Amino acid sequence: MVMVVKHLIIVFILAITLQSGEVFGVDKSKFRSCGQSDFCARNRGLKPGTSPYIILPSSIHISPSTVSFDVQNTYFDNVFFITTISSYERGIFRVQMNEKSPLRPRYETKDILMNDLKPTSLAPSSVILHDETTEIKLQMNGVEVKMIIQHNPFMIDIYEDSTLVISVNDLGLLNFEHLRVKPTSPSSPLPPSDSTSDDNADVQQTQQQQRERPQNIPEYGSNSWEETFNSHHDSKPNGPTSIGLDISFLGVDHIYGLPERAVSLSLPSTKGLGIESDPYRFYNLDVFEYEINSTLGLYGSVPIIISHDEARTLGVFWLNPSETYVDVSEETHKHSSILHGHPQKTTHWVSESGVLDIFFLIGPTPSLVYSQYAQLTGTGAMPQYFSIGYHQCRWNYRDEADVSHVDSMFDFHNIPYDVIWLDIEYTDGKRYFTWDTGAFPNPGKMIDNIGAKGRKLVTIIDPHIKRDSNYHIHTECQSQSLYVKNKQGEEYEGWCWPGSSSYPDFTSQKVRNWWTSLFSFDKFPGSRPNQYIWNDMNEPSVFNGPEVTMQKDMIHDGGWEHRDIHNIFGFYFHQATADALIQRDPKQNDRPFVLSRAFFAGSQRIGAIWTGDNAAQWTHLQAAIPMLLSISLSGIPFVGADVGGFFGNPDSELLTRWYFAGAFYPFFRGHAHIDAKRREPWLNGEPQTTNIRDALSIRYSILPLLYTLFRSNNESGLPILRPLWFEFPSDSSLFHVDNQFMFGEQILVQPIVHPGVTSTTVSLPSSSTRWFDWFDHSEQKGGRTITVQTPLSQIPIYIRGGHILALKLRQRRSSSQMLHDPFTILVAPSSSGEAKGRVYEDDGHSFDFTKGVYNDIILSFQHNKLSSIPVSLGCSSSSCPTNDVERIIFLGVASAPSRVFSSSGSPLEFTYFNKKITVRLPKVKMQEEW
Amino acid sequence: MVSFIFYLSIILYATSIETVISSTDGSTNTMIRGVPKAGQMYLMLQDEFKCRSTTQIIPISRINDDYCDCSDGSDEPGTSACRQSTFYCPNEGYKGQYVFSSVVNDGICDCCDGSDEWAKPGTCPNTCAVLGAELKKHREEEELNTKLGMEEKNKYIEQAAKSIAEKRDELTANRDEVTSLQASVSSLEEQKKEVEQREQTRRDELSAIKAEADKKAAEEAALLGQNKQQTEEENLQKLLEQEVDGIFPAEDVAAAEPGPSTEHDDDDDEHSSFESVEDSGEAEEEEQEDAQNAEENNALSGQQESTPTPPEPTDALLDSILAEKNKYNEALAQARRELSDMENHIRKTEELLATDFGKNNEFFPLHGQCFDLTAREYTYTVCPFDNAKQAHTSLGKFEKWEPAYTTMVFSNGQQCWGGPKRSIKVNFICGAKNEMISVEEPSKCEYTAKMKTPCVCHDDHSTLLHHENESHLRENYF
Repeated sequence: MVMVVKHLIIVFILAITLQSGEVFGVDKSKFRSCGQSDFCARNRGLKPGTSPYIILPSSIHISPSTVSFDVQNTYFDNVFFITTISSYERGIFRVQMNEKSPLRPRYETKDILMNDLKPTSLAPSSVILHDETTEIKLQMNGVEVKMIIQHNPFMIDIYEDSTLVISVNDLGLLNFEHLRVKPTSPSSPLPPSDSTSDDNADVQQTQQQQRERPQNIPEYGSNSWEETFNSHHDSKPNGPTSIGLDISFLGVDHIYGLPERAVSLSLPSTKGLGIESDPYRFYNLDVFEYEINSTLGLYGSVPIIISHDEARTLGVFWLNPSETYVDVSEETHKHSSILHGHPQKTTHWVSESGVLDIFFLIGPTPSLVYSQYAQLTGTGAMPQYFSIGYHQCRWNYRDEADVSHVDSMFDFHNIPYDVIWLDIEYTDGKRYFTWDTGAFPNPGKMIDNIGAKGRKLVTIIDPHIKRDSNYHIHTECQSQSLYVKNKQGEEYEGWCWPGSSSYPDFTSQKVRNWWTSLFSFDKFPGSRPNQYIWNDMNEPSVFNGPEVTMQKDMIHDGGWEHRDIHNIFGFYFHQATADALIQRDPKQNDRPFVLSRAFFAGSQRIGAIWTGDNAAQWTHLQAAIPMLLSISLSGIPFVGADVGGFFGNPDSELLTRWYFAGAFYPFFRGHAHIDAKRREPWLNGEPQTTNIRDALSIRYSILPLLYTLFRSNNESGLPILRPLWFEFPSDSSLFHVDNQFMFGEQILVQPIVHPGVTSTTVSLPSSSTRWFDWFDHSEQKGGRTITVQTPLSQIPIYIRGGHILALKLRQRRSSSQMLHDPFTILVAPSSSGEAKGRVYEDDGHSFDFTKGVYNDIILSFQHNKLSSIPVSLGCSSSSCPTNDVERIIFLGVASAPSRVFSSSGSPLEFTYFNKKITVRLPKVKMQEEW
Repeated sequence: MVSFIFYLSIILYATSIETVISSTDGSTNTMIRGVPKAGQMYLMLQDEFKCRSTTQIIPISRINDDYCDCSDGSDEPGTSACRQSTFYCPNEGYKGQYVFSSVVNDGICDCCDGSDEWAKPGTCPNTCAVLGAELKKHREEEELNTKLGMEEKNKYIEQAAKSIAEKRDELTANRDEVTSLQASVSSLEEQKKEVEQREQTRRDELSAIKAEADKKAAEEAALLGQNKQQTEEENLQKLLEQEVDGIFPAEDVAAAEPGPSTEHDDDDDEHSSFESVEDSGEAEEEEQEDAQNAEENNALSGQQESTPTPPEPTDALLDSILAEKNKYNEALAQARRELSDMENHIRKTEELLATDFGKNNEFFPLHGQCFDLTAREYTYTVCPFDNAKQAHTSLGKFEKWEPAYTTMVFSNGQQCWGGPKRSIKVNFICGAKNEMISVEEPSKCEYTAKMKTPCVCHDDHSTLLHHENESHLRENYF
């Protein structure tokens, strides 16, 4: 869903279309650049230099778990900041900084970090006070990690095993803008914002001191106290409140993360020689027809950077939900002499308000970084099994007959799917929790009919509430004062799908509690247990607001401005809806499924997100890979891009290729705009219907693996989609690769993302790795680039040697009918002839798995012997049946075996063909030890 | 060569897979599950099974052993083991049906006899009797419907044959008429030419007389040399008087020049014949264009009118010749108009006769008719072979049959904002009378309609049966 184009402006748009002939593309004038945002421009304008911030050595205090001290901004009198350094168990340093005595409290983020997060205690010997520096030395993950805090100027260097890896405030760009009183004296008027001069008079007028302003202290103009963009006024009652800081990653060529935007995986620099780009921006926005290769932030924000080189992987997490910009460059300062000739990535972070709260994840391996990050923001929620199947969506399936027809056509064409979706048109005039009774007279019955085949329905519910005095949700919001307020303290009013709308303040616990009560089956008429929810427009999208969102000076719970919380508004809404689904039926104890467009760090704990309103263009199919990898690297595993592309009409080739790519998206949904032609999988006719069915069959056959990968993520935070470097961290030739990805550690996928490709080259990493073609099981040696044929019926998919896959090859109409089906075990041995695998299963829907009700089986192949070791068989009820193993396939076997037999000595029937052994009906169960 | 020994650490497990060859009705006859009766005998006589479309040969015991041996799936007609396979349910009392192997033993009842859920007997109640009764009733209704439809269709065919024959006769008569009209036009043209020749002769005579008079006047002037200036003035005065008298009235010129305005009328006729029923914005636009063209033409003829006409001396004989010429001009214009009207009429008749009204022209009576349906907030109108509308919005003009004689495609309707030009496909099904029964908009501005008509009714039972066979799978899901 995107911002609407209302009738009033249709004429205008048409006129543009006729003139330019160009229909698609973001309207850049709607969105600010850094230069159009005073806090960004003034921070970006700072020049590196000696930082005016110093530590007062007398203030250094060492408690059992923290080192704290006061930092002074020496350019001002009496401006002090309390700074606290702490460390966390798995290898994390945290630096927090806030004003010592602010005029008003500054916003501190709640609800993002895990509740049980506790700093580790520091052994007295690990903190060493020197005259010039304070040193914290710790052993973390077998690495000696040292943090050296320089007192004057204030700077932090982090060393791993004596190698300098991160340097903080090296450029001296730390700029913590203390709250201040607006200068009102007519004798010292504020200089205009576009003042061209550096002249001393301005500096003197701006500051109470007579001292010269260094280049790394900003000057303030009238725009620092109020600002207008596209006729939207921001009153900025607190004036300048931003926080900026530079963080350098030393010795690295590649940094990743900073979602959400459509850029390459390895983040390009935004500053430096020949580069003129806006910084990466974090401001959750409903960007209509977003562009590829733009630093503009899209619907969600995770302010995390992952750096990687041959030696180590590191992460930096900047916890701040206000608008944030990050510049990336190769700029060097103090350490330039040491590192001459070595690569470096320098990042400059600026947030508009709040406090400084940074986490350094010291790795040093990729998986440890995720273990560390998961400790902070949590692991991914365990999804219900159905939700990792295929989802069929369209804006809009019009009525009950349409839903029933589409559902039956999947069966008619023998194409599996699990969930059908209803977009906004199902409601009565976009009043959520109601139905358009003309089109959906018996929604409950419709959902039950879908449910009879084990399928589910998802309906959309957005955070804007129609201002209609006959609409009970609106009247409840009014009577209980639940809406976000404007600066006069009245209900905030904006324009969205229903027309004039207001927005419940989801940052308030009271509002969230109220929201969860709305989903009970008696309050949401026609709703059913097999109905789940889609949260869209939660950036929030406000059609007539600045940059299609809420004004920054609107007021939330606790008196906080929208500016303080913007990037977590969508997170709170998503969380409240997920909680609502848990609470609507406590007896069922089911896990929620809620898809959200907006997200923030920690959204992985709630549910799925998708990359919003993409387009039916090859460039968007291409961009989906780095986008999904980037979000995955930011801790959110349950991600997908709309298959087919939301806007426009994919031709049959693009659609088919997209289904093959989508088969490996953790969240797999086909979706289309209301103006687009129908594109359900069978509509392009043969051979595409068969091709798309085959793509879906691949997806359904690997559901046991995908569910196991979700479990691994749920346990340890390991991403599901991984860049190649994640699995082959020492191969620097892979650090930029974003046309391929690993699905778990087991499968390499290279979607075909260009038209007319009949063959392609595939680089298979690691000369010591054996790779096996998914389709014909032939073996390819790693460390080579091969050319493969790519008919529309396949894309390059390779199973990595050393892994055992448990597949379900029987096709069913949805995942729920696969429960009793037998497994096929596929053994892809490593070069040493060994392989391992894991099968995790539980009831697929409830929270019982948290109480040990699950099966966890380890498969291992060594010395020509395949065995199964159930680590846990906690799930033995009817929801976890025992499954036969119908066949076992051993790949890459050089010559025919003379015998294959079971441990009891009984011979097993097998065939040997094309270097693989297929054992027929081995008469073993997956859930037994053998 | 090293010989590999694969050792599976397994505990032997007695097969839970049920009987491969099982009895469906408890009688002594054993049947192979998922195969229609016709196929049973073939399979049971063999020791080996040759996969249907591959070269693989497997022991007969491997049929329905819940393991997919044949890569074409043909060895597992009764289980879900092969992806490509289908399962046959006998559905005694209803009708036999193939379902995909993917629905065998999936806990959902697909066959009315429940045979697809054989692993858990009792999962599905046998509903074949009920369905059979419904089917019987439905078939009877269909038969009646078809019977009535066929009667109507035969009338249509008769009516079409009659109308078409009439049209053909009319066409022949019209063509004769064209010949005679052409003859009268030529004859009038001849006669007109003759009058024009006389006109020319008389004009030549008049110029000769005038030249003589001028010569005489010059001689007189030479004699009266002293009064030269005065005489010149008198001559000038005379000439001016002659000029004023000699100008033809403007109406005569216009009447004498038939030309472009008649042709333009033809164009107009053509437009109105195709678009008189149209009131889409586009048609209006075209009309505006026509109006503009007409204005341009008028301006052109205006220019012709204002072309200076040479001064003519007054002459009674010439006047009578000109009057005669006017008469012929008028007669010729009239004759040409009649000819062109007739030619248009013929063209329309030819077009009509060239239209594809079906194998036996059974759709002929639908031509010129329109059918309405009000669905949700709009009234849809379909005029077969002409156009379709949603209220006043054009959904397109008739473009083609696709496929022939079941679906009419109307395209190139009003442009849709953010979408294509509107279009509609009208699918015909057998009915006792013509009736629109549904209109849908599956994609934006791309409509589909269903219409009942006797035109597509068939009493051919073999066709019906064939249709039924084809839709075995389909019927399961509709």
